[in-house]
Amino acid sequence: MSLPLDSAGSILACLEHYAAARANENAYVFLTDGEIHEQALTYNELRSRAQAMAGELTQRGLQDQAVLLLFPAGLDFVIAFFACLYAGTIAVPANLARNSHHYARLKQIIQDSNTQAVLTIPALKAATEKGLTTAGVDVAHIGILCEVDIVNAASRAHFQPVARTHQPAFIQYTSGSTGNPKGVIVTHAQLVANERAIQRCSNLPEFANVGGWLPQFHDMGLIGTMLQPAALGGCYYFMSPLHFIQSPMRWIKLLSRCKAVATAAPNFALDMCVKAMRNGFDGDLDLSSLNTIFCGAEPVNQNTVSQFNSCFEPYGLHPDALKPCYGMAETTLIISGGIATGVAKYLTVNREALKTGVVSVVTEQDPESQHIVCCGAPVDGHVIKIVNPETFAVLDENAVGEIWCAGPSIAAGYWKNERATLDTFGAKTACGQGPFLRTGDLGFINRDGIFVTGRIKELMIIRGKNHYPHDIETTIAGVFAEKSMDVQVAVFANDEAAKVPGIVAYVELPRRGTALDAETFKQFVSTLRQAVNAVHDVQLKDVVAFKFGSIPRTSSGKTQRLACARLYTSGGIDTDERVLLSTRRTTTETEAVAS
Amino acid sequence: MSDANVLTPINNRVQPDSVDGVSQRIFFHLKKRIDADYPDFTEPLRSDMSFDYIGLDSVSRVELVTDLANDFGIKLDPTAAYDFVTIGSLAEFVWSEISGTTLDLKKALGV
Repeated sequence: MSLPLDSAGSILACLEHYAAARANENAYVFLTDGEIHEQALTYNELRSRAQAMAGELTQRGLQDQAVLLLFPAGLDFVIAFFACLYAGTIAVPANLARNSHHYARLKQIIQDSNTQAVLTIPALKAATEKGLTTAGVDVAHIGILCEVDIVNAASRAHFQPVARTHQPAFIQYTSGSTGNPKGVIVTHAQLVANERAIQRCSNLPEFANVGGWLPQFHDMGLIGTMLQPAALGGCYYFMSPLHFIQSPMRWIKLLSRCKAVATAAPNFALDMCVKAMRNGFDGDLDLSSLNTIFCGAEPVNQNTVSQFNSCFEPYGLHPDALKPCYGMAETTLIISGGIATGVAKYLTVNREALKTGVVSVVTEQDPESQHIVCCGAPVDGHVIKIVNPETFAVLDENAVGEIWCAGPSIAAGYWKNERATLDTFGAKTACGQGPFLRTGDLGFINRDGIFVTGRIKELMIIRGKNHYPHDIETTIAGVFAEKSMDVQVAVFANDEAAKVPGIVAYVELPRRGTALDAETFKQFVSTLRQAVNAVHDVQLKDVVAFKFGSIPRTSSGKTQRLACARLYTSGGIDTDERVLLSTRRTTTETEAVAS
Repeated sequence: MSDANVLTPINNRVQPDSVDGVSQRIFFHLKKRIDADYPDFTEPLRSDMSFDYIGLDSVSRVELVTDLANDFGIKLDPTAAYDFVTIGSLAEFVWSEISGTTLDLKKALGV
């Protein structure tokens, strides 16, 4: 049986269909306290309120203009997002700002996207205006608008339906480099193509209930969980991410209660649920309806998958429900994942061979064995190639190379950044095939399954959020610069599998100048942690001060962050003579504490 | 830093009798986190220290508030450690929730 989604030119076609066919059915249910108190929005209410707001956006000349969406988790964001789609306004979803650094980031997004208005809720209007003004945004020229202020009885009459397919629907700013923000442009056609891909790869039924908590401004939360049920005439039951972190079992209880067919979460969230279960849970759960748990946004760990299944199979969780997937903002969302028949769920390979680009399948008992989870097959209508990143030659099965993608939901490019768009979205293989998206990720294909093994780019993914080393290095160098010290910095993730993930900074001290004593170093570390946490919301685990010229570099002088990380994880750093000062607890000290 | 063991959980619940009692519990949880996350952090914890200064990211803040809610058997909004960003101000807020007294916002926020 065909679905309206199969032929929709935009997700608005789906909403129109279900607003007529299922007017009084709930499209969204938000748990305001994460547990009991519900706010609901029917399909008719959603269409009506979104169109009224769209009428006002149109009246204000905001068609084809960027509008920033600053909302806490809830229904207001849903209405504002659909209002932008209806009005032909380009939505720019963003995280709420909590300090001056966050407002500075919003300022960069506003400048890059040429934002003409900010949509928010009344409770945040004054704080938003003050924060943006302090950050240097000329708010007099940017309206800060709330639904209740701008919508009136006549608003819907201003709404003019316009068929839009290849125009931008929204811009997804990656967590990307703060000095060089990259806004990924997603058109209406690309958005609906990815919704189709999500539905098909896991065979989600019409009227599916979906449950979740992922941030609505984040691609996985927006496209994967918030919009998918609306594309299918179903209902999205959700809560704030903070309510999930406060008590992870709220999410599982929600899935049970609303008989969710699908949900999505990064690996760390599954770990949190396993931990919560081990701490004791004696309630009732029925997860037998749950067909799909999309697991992505960060590397998927086989141990986590196995432990999660063990914890929840007694409650009816199907052993195949957990479906690792792969994607990014540049592919709108998903590019591989879902049901993959005849594909290994994971492979056990030799870790050392993999470092040299060779996939050597070994037994579990091999001392150098490593599990790599399969992220499913390419989604319907999309192509994935593994390509030598230097020669651009297409590689055979089981050869590690860069993952290149093509298909209808590959995004249109980076907003007003032709150079980066061409470099990333316009790649051609050595034999002239293309254009392909260069993901910057390394992986291989085994029997149609995609296996992601690492990254060419030195992007760090911590708790599902992308961090660019250069941004954090700039923050750290800035702290030293305030004390007139010109330092070189290299940062890397301590270990993505660490209990509490964070980053490590190597700081190369200047050749001349005052030597750094232990007490001053300690003070610097404290200031650095404060700055990194405030600006990037990530823990700076360790700081290591090096002699001048000691940080690993290439012959051309480029910092080798991956080599820095190897030195750290191998423990070689503990005895390295180039190190002057370090916060790191040595292997011997760690063992002493453990015993 | 105050002795965190002064407050012993009774029936898995801790019953503070003042703001200071709440602060002690915050110290207790922070000490555990710092020992695990930043073993080099040896500075004594003080009430006027901010969570940014201690290096608590957003997940750790929510977990701290959750620990306190579990200790005291009360409901706390997960954003509490964003709204009250020092140990002292969070203790004032949590105590107001426990005791049912009105929070002196100016005092809590030090303004």
